[in-house]
Amino acid sequence: MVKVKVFTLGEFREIMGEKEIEVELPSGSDVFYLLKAISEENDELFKMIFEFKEEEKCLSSRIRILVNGRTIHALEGIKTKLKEGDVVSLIPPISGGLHISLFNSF
Amino acid sequence: MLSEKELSRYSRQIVFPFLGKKGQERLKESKVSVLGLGGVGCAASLYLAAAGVNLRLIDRDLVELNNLQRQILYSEEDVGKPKALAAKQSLEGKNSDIEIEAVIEDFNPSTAENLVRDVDLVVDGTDNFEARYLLNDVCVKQGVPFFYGAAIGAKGVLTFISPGETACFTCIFPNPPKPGSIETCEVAGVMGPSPGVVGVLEAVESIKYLAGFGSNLKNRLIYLDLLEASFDEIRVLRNKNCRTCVKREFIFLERREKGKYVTSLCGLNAYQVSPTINLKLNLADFSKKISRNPDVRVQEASNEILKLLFEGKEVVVFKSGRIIVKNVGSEERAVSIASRIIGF
Repeated sequence: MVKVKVFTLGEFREIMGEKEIEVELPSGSDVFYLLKAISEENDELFKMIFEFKEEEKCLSSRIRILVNGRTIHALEGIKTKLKEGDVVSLIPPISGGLHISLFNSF
Repeated sequence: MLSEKELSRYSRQIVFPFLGKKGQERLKESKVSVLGLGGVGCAASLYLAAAGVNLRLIDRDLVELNNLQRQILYSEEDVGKPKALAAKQSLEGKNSDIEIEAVIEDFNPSTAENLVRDVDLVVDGTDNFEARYLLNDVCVKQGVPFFYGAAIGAKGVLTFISPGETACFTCIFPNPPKPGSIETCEVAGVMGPSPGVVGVLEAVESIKYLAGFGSNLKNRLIYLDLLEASFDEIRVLRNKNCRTCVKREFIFLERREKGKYVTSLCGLNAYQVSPTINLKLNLADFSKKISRNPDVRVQEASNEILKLLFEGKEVVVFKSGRIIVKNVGSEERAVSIASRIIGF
């Protein structure tokens, strides 16, 4: 097993009610596994994270994910393997004047 | 060299040991472009001017009454004036020892390079993502550091981008959002001081950077949630495959086609602004949200078409994201209004 930290911002924090949570995962788990694990019993969170395209589950355009500060785009995407002590940041869409593109389709 | 008047004017910050006389001389030699003079740009330029930094103030828009709630450089008599001129006038009254250049110009691929030329730093006060990718392209290309800062509602975000050294905007946010998937201040609202907080932090960080003291926001993104009164920081790192700062592909700067097309509608004194892709907007939902904005009067709403009065202008929004703005004098005004309704 490995322990990783999930750091939340904005709406993710509102929904999860925590700034930071520690999650224990089987060794060799990836980002996708982590996301499923934390949203399993939280419908609202699940909807923030996933959307279905042609019945296939994929990441919603409302989430941005960094692992230890690096966008998962620069790593292996949602298949990025997690190791002990990794910090996974979940960033929501902040919009408007902000328009900050903190979210996007993957 | 600092004059007697300057020594006196800046005495409190010269006494501040981190800045000192040397730091003040550096500020005097420096120039910052403030790109966008909304809530963020007003607050940032106010403190930069007060501290003795020379400024280039850039904005294409006019002051509107609904700006005054958060855009603190303007007064009631400025309504209808170009923001760049009104801001310059306001700041000159506060500090006549600095040089202030006012530029009434749209920031686009053909103007971008000149607008960040010959400055030490750019402060982001823009209100749309396209401008930010363009700002990132042009700053990375020319090696100009900049602050990325933004605010909406009661939230804000800020980071410092030093091309080649820190993560750039594309490293952090590789792709732009889908047009129309983002809310604008017109739809989501904004608490007046939120952009002010971001702008003031940009000024703090700029002064530190220009005068050369303190640590800075390199590779750190600050996220403010003022509803919760919380400040968070996340580490952001370079993407070694980044198309902008590693491969040096400046797609926003080089592209001819922007995310929207503008057409003048003959005889109607109207402009049509169309996104390049069909947005399939949910107009019922959109209408409900935008009707909360007191500047907007929804006149007719169906699944296909939404008719609004926005700041007295007749605006028609189609499900595809196409927008017609009537009775506007210029293409720029039409684009400005359309962009504020739909986040292009």
